Order: sequence, then structure tokens, then C-alpha cells
Amino acid sequence: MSAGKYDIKVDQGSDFSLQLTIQESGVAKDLSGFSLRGQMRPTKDSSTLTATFTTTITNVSGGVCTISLSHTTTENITVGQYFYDIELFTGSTVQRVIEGLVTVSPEVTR
Amino acid sequence: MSARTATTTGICSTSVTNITVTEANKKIIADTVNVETTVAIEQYFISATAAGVLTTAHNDMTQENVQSAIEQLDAAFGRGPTDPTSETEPFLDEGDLFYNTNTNQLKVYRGSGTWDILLQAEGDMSTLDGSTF
Repeated sequence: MSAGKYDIKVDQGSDFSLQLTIQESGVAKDLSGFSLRGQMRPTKDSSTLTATFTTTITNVSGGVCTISLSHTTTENITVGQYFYDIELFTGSTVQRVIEGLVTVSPEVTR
Repeated sequence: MSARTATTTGICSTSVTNITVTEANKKIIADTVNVETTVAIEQYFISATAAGVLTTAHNDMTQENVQSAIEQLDAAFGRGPTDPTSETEPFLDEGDLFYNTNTNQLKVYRGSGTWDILLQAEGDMSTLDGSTF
């Protein structure tokens, strides 16, 4: 399968949060037993881990979850472009749900 | 060189995740759907030029087409200084012809290791041998 593509913008020094609703053929996916994880890196194959998203499933039966970065995390990210993806996983399966670019914009007020 | 031998259709199935943005950079929906695509499947027969035909009974044949290979076989086994035997020529069959270049005799194989002389080439003319069948 192929993951959905969506580019996100992150403001350096600000909290970032994105609500993600996961569906299958238009029907909300029951996320019972599933977990989410996500990372961002300078390049797709880079060994440098820029940041790890905090993931929260907010509505299990509704397939709703949130991925976020705290301002203490984003303030330490150098301005630029990065790659990210979010994976839905169980003990035995992994499904990349979404991927794309992260553009980090510079913080002025410090 | 290739030639198409058959054409059929098949269905490729894969799932893709469509993204719907309900609030830019705030809320998105990732909907995974199954997508089926009908594709044409064509089978081709591909032939290649042989680099050499190997037969264990006749060693390497260096010619690269049937005509030349047969001529090579004929040159190697249709004549020679020694009458073939079932050991030197595993495919020896009754009725096979052989020209012995030492004795200048054209012979026919009668089976069971026996060669009978058909013609004896001598001087300016060849004479028919008196062997019986």
C-alpha cells in the first residue's frame, strides 16, 4: 500500500499539533490494539533523528489521533525542511499512514 | 528476437491512502482505499543466438547455425582414417555410411560392429565391391 502524502509546517519554538482521522474506505478505523509512532529526519535515510512526534489516540472507535511536538522540542529544531512519516502499528503489523515534508519556519520572538 | 505468444488481462490490487484536509495544518483525514487496476499481460517468446551447441557425444560444436553444425558433424564423422565403433560413435546405426580415408573405402554399417565395403576408390576410377547383403 502507499501512504498518504501531506506536508506540514512547524513553527520553531511553538507547539505543533495535528489531528489525524484514520479511515478505511470511508469508515473510521477502530484503533483498538493499535499504536502510533512518528519521527522526522533531515533526509529519508538519515541516521540523524531530528524529532519524535508525540502520538495520542483520542477516539479509538472513531479512528482519531493526534500527533504533536512541544515548543521545547521545536525550538531546538534548525530551520529548514525535513521528512516525516507516521506509522500505525500493532505487535505484528506496521502500516505507514501518512508521510511528507516538514517545513520549520524561524522563530522571531525568543 | 521476440514474438508475442499470448495476451491476457489481470487485475492489480493495491491500497492507497487519500488525504483530505479539513483544516489546514490542523485536521486531516487519512482514508485507505483499495484500488484495482486492469492491466494487459503479454507473454513473449524470446529466442537468442546460441553461442555454441554442446553435445557430450560429439564434443563441442563450434558452428552457430543448424546448417553449419550439420556440415561440421558430417565433416567430423562422415569420413576419417579409422572405422567408427559403437564406442567412438554412440549413435552408430545400421545403414550409416563412412568413408575411410586410409583405405579409400566407402563403407556401410551392418550392425554388430560390422562394416561392409561398398566402394573401393583406386586410381582413376572407383569399383563396386562384391560384398553381399
